[in-house]
Amino acid sequence: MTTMKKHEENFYKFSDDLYSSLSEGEDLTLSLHLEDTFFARFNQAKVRQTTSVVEGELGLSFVRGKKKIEYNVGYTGDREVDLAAATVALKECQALAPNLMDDPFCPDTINNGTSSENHTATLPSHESSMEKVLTPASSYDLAGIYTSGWVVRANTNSKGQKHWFSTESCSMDYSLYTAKQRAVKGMYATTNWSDEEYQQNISGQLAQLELMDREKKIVPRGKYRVYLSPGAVSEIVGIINWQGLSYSCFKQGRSAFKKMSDENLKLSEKFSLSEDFSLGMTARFNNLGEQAPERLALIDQGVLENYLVSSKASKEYGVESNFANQQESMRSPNMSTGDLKREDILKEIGTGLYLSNLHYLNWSDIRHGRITGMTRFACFWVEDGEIISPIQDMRFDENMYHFFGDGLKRVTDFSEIAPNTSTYGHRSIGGMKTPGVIVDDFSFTL
Amino acid sequence: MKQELLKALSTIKGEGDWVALRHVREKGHYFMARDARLDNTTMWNDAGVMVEVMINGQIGYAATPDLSTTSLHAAAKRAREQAFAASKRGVFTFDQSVRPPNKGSYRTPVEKPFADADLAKLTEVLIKGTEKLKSNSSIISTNAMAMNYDIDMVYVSSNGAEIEQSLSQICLESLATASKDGETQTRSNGFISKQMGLELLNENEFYTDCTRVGEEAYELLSAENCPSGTMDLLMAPNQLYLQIHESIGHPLELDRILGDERNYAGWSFINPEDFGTLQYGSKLLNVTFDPTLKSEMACYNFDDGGAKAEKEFLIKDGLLVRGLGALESQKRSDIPGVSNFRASHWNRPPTDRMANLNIEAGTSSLEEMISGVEKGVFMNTNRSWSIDDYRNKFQFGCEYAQMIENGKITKTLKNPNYRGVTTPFWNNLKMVGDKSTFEIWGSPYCGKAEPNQVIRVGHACPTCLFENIEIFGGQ
Repeated sequence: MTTMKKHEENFYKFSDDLYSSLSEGEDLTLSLHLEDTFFARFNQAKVRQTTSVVEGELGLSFVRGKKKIEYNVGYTGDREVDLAAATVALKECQALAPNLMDDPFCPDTINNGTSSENHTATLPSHESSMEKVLTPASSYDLAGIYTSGWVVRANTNSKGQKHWFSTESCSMDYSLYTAKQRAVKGMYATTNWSDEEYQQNISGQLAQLELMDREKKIVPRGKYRVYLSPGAVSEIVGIINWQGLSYSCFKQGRSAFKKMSDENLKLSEKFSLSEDFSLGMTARFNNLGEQAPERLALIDQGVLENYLVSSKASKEYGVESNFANQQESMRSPNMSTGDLKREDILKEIGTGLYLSNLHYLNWSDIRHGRITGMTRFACFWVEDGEIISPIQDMRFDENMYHFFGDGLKRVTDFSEIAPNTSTYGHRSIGGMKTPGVIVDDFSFTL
Repeated sequence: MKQELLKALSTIKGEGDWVALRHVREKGHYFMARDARLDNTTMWNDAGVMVEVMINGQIGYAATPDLSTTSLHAAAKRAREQAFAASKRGVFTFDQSVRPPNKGSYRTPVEKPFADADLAKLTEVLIKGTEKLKSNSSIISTNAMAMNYDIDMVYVSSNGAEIEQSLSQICLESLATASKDGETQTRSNGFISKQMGLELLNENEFYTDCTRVGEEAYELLSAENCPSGTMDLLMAPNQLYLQIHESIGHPLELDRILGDERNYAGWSFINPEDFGTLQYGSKLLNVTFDPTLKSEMACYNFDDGGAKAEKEFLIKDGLLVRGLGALESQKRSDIPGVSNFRASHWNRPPTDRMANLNIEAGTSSLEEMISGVEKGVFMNTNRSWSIDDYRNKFQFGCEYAQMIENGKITKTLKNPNYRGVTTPFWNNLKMVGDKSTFEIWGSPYCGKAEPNQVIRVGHACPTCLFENIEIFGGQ
């Protein structure tokens, strides 16, 4: 039996033990996060910090009638220790629940079936990885982080549901700097480390890095025709994912897409966005163990087709759930491609800006769909279809009803995967797939 | 726990030239009421140990939730192997001076421990708060939230550090969204974050404030849009604290200046030679790192590297004099710093973080500042924020504003925003409020570092007046 299979079986046995402590009328859902991760952080192509983390977190979702309590405790893998901690938590829930007011929209605990997926990888050892990562870049100024190891998301409930998803991978999220301290961004993510592929990945960035040493152009405020690369578009989709397509946020007046619903506005026919688990980057089951549809159109050719609806929102607002997570955020966004070929991008810009990356996006006016943020890393001034020079960072403040609406002129015929490298609290899984776009009259304000 | 850690340390201290164990247990509660019902009840209780091993001047970190001897030994071995491998390519060779052998303790002064609270009663207060927030039928959504963190930390090291600290932190939020005739506006209490117990929540004051928040949300529906133009900006502490955070705190972090953060949070426009020479702001600007201001979110006696924490001026009379960097960064950069080596939890290594970062009170009353404005806007409570990776070009939006004309507040404004560049902005600081305008704010959500860490910070400041600021409204 593999180590991962043992973890899976142990979790199921642990779950059954804990469920035996439930009383009549009580239900419990358990969500498990486990990881064994190695992080190596770099600056100046040298090692700044190394950290290995073995950790587990167990989420208890306790329901008695219409009372619901969530309780998160540590999970060590030692059955006795974990059962003791989880039992204390469960008893606290059992004691508190009768004194709480009902939540009329508390979802029912039901058996959402069984699934098991284990994805393994071939990765360098922790100790050798630092040499592998730094050797091809040792003559450059590199900053970044190498992350390697496995992650588990699992879920059971007292009605018999069992879901397990494990994945193993590594990523090198990095940036390279010129002597003038100008940078390009790179990402190598894989389940099968290849020295050759990694070297090619670095070489690909070096071509852009050479351009960064040209004299920098200070572009005045104004409206420009821009190319937003797949990486830049992924930043925009990322901010749209914050309250944007949540049905609860829409109903509570906080969604940027509310105008599409209320005023029947449409975006460009060239813009389509879906929740697409066929990308295979994350588990389809949510924190309740509900299996989302493999593909759900959210915006289809500019038309708002669906919000993300959790089972709780379904009860509250009387609409059908599409088994979104509790936050009703996209877990596997996929934006559709168009017909602009890679070799035609500069020609299509004509004169304007080529933006590889964006930074620190935020809604500046969410109700009108306005987003502000900065250009970052390799961004260039283009004239007559030729890259002229890198630019001084610029602030934009633009409305998504413009840049995904009448301002959206072309979409590339290719898209790129941006793996979710977030490690706040725990290591994330998943990612998104986005193409590049050409937008007219994109507003820069500082 | 200290005795258990010391016992474990005695068996693993031979794994490196220097070894430390940092145990953290965090317990917390999160209660959210929405629209006169309980919406979310979440609790947590999590603990683990970070094992630190120094070999050849490199420190390897290995985290485990399993406190057994076997697990701690395994973690120490991992940390040692990592440190050894890293020592061939380390960015700097450290010694034990970056981990001082201090002994001591700290405990948040708490009048009403959250652990003793009647939790059901607390949820009822929040539910009633949402009823107060619904000041009229145009309020379409109301939220009231209380959250706390009780953190116990023990740190012991092979060179003699023995530190025990217990922090109690609490956050309180109320929020109302009003909508009518196609206009929607949200007003909140600004998300109060303090280091104290449940004494923060005075029931009657909370209800009164919820009523104010609901009324101001409604008031915004009929308010004029904020005008656009270059004018004076009077900023309340509930917005100024985030301006301090983003445009003073982050650029002064020494690890950013050293380039550690370049791939993620970003670099800094500050260069090492700017310390002692750069006029960061007007002569009225005095900024301190102050871990001693009672009830501010990030009070402590020792940072997570064991260094004693004391109040220091970072900017004195507008001049940049000191960075936000702990002993490792001070050693690397030869720039004076502070004790701000902090980790978000047991499973992350410490880095240079903000803690309590404050603007000292000045001498102007609120009335004096308002009366000195010919044309300007008084902004309250952040709703949008963004700044570049060098911490230069920023843009902020607020929930609520008032027009000031000829020395008087004349009307309420909606959708107020402003933008600027850091040092010109702070050099436009025209008046600094006195102690009567001084307030303590903070946030539990400062994100930084690879691997990522969210840390809790405090910012205290008076109301301040800035001149020649680019202000603009919404659509």
